[in-house]
Amino acid sequence: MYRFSKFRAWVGGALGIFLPLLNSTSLSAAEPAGDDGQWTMATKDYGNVRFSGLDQINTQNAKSLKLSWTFSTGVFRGQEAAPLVVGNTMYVVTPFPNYLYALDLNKPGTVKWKYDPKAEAAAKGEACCDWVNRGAAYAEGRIFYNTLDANTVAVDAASGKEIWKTKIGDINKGETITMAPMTVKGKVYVGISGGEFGVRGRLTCVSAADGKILWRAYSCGPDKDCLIGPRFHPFYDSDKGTDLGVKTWPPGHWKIGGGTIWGFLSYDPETNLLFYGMGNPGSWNPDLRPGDNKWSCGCFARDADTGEAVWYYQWSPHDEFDHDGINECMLLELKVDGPDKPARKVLVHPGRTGYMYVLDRATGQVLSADPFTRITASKGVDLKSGRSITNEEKRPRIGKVIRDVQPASPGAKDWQPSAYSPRTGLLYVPHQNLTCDYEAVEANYIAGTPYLGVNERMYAGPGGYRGKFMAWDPVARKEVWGIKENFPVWSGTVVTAGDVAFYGTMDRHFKCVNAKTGEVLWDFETDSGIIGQPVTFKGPDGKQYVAVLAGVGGWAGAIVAGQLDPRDPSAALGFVNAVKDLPDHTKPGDKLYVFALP
Amino acid sequence: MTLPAALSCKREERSFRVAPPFVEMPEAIPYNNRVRPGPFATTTPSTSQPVSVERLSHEPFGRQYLINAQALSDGQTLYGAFNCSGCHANGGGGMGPPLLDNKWFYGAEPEQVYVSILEGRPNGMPSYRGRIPDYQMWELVGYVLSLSGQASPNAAAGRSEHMTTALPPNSTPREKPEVVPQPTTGPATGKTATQPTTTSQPRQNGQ
Repeated sequence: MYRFSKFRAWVGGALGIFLPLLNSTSLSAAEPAGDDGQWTMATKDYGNVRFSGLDQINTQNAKSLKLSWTFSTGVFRGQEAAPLVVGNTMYVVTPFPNYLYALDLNKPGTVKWKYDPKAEAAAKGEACCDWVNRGAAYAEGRIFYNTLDANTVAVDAASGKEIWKTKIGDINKGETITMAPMTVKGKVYVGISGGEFGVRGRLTCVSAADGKILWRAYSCGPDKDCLIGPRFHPFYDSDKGTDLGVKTWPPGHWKIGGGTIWGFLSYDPETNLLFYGMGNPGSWNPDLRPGDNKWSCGCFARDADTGEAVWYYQWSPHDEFDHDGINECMLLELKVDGPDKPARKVLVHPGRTGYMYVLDRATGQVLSADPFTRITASKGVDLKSGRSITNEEKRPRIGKVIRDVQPASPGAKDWQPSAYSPRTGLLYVPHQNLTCDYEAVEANYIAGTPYLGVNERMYAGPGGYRGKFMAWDPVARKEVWGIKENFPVWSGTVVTAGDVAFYGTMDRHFKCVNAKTGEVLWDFETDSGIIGQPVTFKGPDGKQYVAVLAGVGGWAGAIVAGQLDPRDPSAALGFVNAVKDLPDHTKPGDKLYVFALP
Repeated sequence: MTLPAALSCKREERSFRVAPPFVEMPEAIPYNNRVRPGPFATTTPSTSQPVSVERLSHEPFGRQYLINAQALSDGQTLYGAFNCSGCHANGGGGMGPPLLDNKWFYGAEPEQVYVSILEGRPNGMPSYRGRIPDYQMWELVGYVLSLSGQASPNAAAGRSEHMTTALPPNSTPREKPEVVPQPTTGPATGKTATQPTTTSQPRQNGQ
């Protein structure tokens, strides 16, 4: 959702051509006042657009950006969080042990307070992909965030005192939390991680006032557990019927059926709907779970008050390659029906499967699904049935090694969030170019241990580059420009009204690029590789700042954060083989960097 | 013609099965820290006497699993079946630490590895007590140690049962195990703490 009424007329009209003339003064008039000075949730806005109306830093002066201040968190693991800015305070969540720092922006770099949730150390062994945390959410004087040991906490934003702490999951079953919660109208929405442990995914709604659990909506199992009732009207026939969350599994398998929720949530205030994606089904090995495995690897639209499901679409029925469907659902209004027709309210999802999905936000109908990378894992998306078309040649079978499956398990794009600029009409998509060899093997479910059944080794796709920062035109449905990077681009991005976009690389570069042309305007070398989410805000002095955490890790950087051994190509679920040389380029890091114009 | 026959008489002695242990815990577990508080240690009852690593290296029990091909082969199968591979991969690590290298947080003596599997460890290693028959736990110990070349090359597996990943245990260079502190929240030490370089030379393990 992005309510720029003045843009609607032209946002979709770009049709892949750069917009040569833009009246930027009319844009700032349309800006919701005050919002852009702050950054109050990881996604910046409910629609996951990550566009900032701040325009002090622009294509002309970006080259003069200077380091303003830094802050060291003392936690040297993958830094995937977005710092929050509320008033004159910045809030930073670290990877496990999940400290929360409040930093005074009036005296940059000074700590107002530090909160320690005392998370259980054993959680570190239950987290699939480093001990990351993707950030917090602010509402009504409270900071909400999740800890690796599967608790949600509410902390007083002024004092740093814990207000409540609610246990969401059980680490003995491999349940952890890495995602940033979303808070809407007195409710906090929290997912669960553990798709590699046979965790039964669910969205938990917690009362912001006292931490009580209001409802849970499961991703597999009987309809009543999944809050599927009379309001549920999926667009495609394959999603219609009762208890599909049971019937599309071998008997009882839904109890360890995955469909975890660890990406970002979106919210549309006009329809009061939440949108989010589900992760892979339980056991990576698809042979162990014949069927569509609903409701894994799809997207739910749910009523934000009651949790009732409204529609569902499955990106990849019977997921074969760990192509979690958790990537962000960006709520946009685009002229996808033609330049003369009114803009349509759509949901854009740059999928792990390698397709750029554009869905009708009201119905869940797929309007388009175009490849934004090389794809061998599937043969396209049938728009009539909505189904992904299986490539039989690449179908995993027990005991058989399938070669050159692209996208590899992290997908064409993983969790790293994209941004959209209504000024350029372009999406900015950090992603990777990885292919893999994939062997399905037997798997046993033992609670609290990985439930995988796959041997994998990844490597760079054709071209040899492993990552890319791309601008994509969602109306013309094509790439406009792309910057190839040596390593996967595992950082998020932000685009601004100054027509610049920021992203970081795993080999320690923080870059500012021209949002229209992709020209690199500024490049800063950090201590450690960047996998965090850059944010921009207005400081107490009225200046525009850009902040990012640098500290390599996550799945892609596990070789450095976890000191893994590159002699085993299957280390870190096969990712190590693709990034064997990363330790030559970066060490672990813990630092927040804040930049501004002199 | 008599030469091969004569040589074959000098074959090493091998047992095909290791007798299953009749106690759950080995008698003496090497301590992870050699420093003992004194002087009372000398007067403690003999059953709880600290036992030096040197002495244990002559203890036959745990080591039998490092020279027995059947046990090592079974250990390899169990390593997959009990999901060890999910966290430690084929020795390179992932959610759990690597097993190919020379770095051990809790000791590399067979009895120490056994205790790690039996009791778990506080930073995420789950306890398998009651989930794996004891003799299979020892077979796992043997296979885990073979990943860093601690097993006899004559007995260790020569090929993986699956897609080629790390070198097979009978070809893995023998590491000299050392106990290292576990990096928790401070800067990681060891291999990756060096200054970034621009060379693409393969890293020397254990440096």
